[in-house]
Amino acid sequence: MNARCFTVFVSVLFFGFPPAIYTQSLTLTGLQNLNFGDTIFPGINKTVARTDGNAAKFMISGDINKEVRITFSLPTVLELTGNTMSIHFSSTDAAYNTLEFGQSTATAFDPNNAVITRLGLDGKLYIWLGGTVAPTHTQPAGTYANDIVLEVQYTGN
Amino acid sequence: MKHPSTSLAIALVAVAGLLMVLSGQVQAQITTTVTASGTVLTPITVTGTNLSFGTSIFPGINKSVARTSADAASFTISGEASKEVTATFTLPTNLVKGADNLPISFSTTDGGHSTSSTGQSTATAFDPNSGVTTTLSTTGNLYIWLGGTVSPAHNQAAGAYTGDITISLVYTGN
Repeated sequence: MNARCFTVFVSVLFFGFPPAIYTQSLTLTGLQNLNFGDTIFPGINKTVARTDGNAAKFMISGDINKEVRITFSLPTVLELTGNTMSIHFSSTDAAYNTLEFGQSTATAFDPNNAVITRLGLDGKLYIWLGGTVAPTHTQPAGTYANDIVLEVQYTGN
Repeated sequence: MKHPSTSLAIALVAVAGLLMVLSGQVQAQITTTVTASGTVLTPITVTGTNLSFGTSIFPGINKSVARTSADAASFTISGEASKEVTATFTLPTNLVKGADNLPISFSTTDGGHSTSSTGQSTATAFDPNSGVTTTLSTTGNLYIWLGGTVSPAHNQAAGAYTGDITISLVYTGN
């Protein structure tokens, strides 16, 4: 191998190779919507805790014990034709756990920032999300809604 | 004909590219979407008519308007049926005409509320200085009346005096 070839080889070896090759795909499922119910009073904030039965719930499935980065795209308002209602998410409104029924003991995190954690020994990870809506005193009546998007990717670790 | 080392280099680059593509596939971002939703109840609205002490207030003689009088202020409130609201007043201590003041006061029974528009005479009394918490009717209505008393001095300057009475209504959440 001449010098030129060696240089290319070293470049590939140290810069081109991915850190790992995973054999199982990563899947993500939204199991439940975030539901503030049908009794939001104008002028009174309403909160759904991450531990509440009405919190949003997600399931991630992939390679056992592999690290993933979790990122939310969160709305700032819920919408009803021509009207909006503020929604916000506190720094402890999200939580994850490798146990499906571990909502109450899940580890809290800030849904406004990405978090990195590992899939469980069965390749699963569960995420819950609460939030707070803040209707004004004159908030028009009706059902407001908007999308919450969850994005997941392997970190390579 | 290509030099063998050139072919090797091309092959290595191709393999590297393939591996990067594979790496990109397995580390690609995946997304899912759920919905956040909730239903807002009917907001509270209120309209009012004025509290009128008339055009014949004698200097030195107090004049009262009862909550049951046709001259009492009245407020018509609407909102979500059968939900609880709190009404509070911002009450003046004087009616004003230019630089002149006419004292006004509100007793502990000068407020009255009813879920019936015709219920003024039988309305439940309350102290307008502290407000009241009550429940809207099954059709989402509430009616409030307000009386008061003005206390002109013996040398009260003649003329029409006025002041603002403000009512605020909020849901309690019940």
